[in-house]
Amino acid sequence: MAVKTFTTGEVLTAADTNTYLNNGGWVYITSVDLGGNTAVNVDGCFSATYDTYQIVISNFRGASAGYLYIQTRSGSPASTDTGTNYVYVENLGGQNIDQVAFRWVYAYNTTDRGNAIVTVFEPFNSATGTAYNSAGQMRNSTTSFFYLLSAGQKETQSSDTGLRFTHSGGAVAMNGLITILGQRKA
Amino acid sequence: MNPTELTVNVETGEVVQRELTAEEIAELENAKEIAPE
Repeated sequence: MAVKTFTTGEVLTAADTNTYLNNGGWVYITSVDLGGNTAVNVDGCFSATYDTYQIVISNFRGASAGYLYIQTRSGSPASTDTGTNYVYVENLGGQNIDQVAFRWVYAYNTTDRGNAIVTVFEPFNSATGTAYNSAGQMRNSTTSFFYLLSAGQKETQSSDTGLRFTHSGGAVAMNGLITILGQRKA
Repeated sequence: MNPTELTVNVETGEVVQRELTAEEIAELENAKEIAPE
């Protein structure tokens, strides 16, 4: 549905906002600064309100080279799924099965950043395994650059309510901004 | 300062930062992978 175009002096009505704004677009949920922490949990970001989410990872950097690891969280109090339940394919390569986390973005050091945008499908639906597509760009040395296309899903079904971010290099301090949006439903 | 964990609850607004235990640090180290060239 195309968004209505208003002309000068035309009245914006409640019906207009209900039709053209409430029923479309991405809605801001939260933004979390990794802030030099070694692990960051974001709980309560997934719910029945939305089915599809967008996660924007900007300016990701690590104290050593490595990927941002992403694991799902569920339950109350929330706990992290650390099992070998994550499957993904990167850059049209072979599938990586029985992984302990997803990985959406990479950073070479504390200044060469990585960025990615990720679409997450039905994390809160207990009948499906949380799935995603992601696209990121990052350096992998001081002189080279690469593009990371990735898709994957959990091989277990659960009603996931949050995410845990850590570093593939182990106990490594991370920086960068995580922003989570929900796709408004009609 | 030891490595820290930040937990943010979007629903309640609660934000908790704490130091990781030695056991939790060891778990992270055990899960690490070799960085690509």
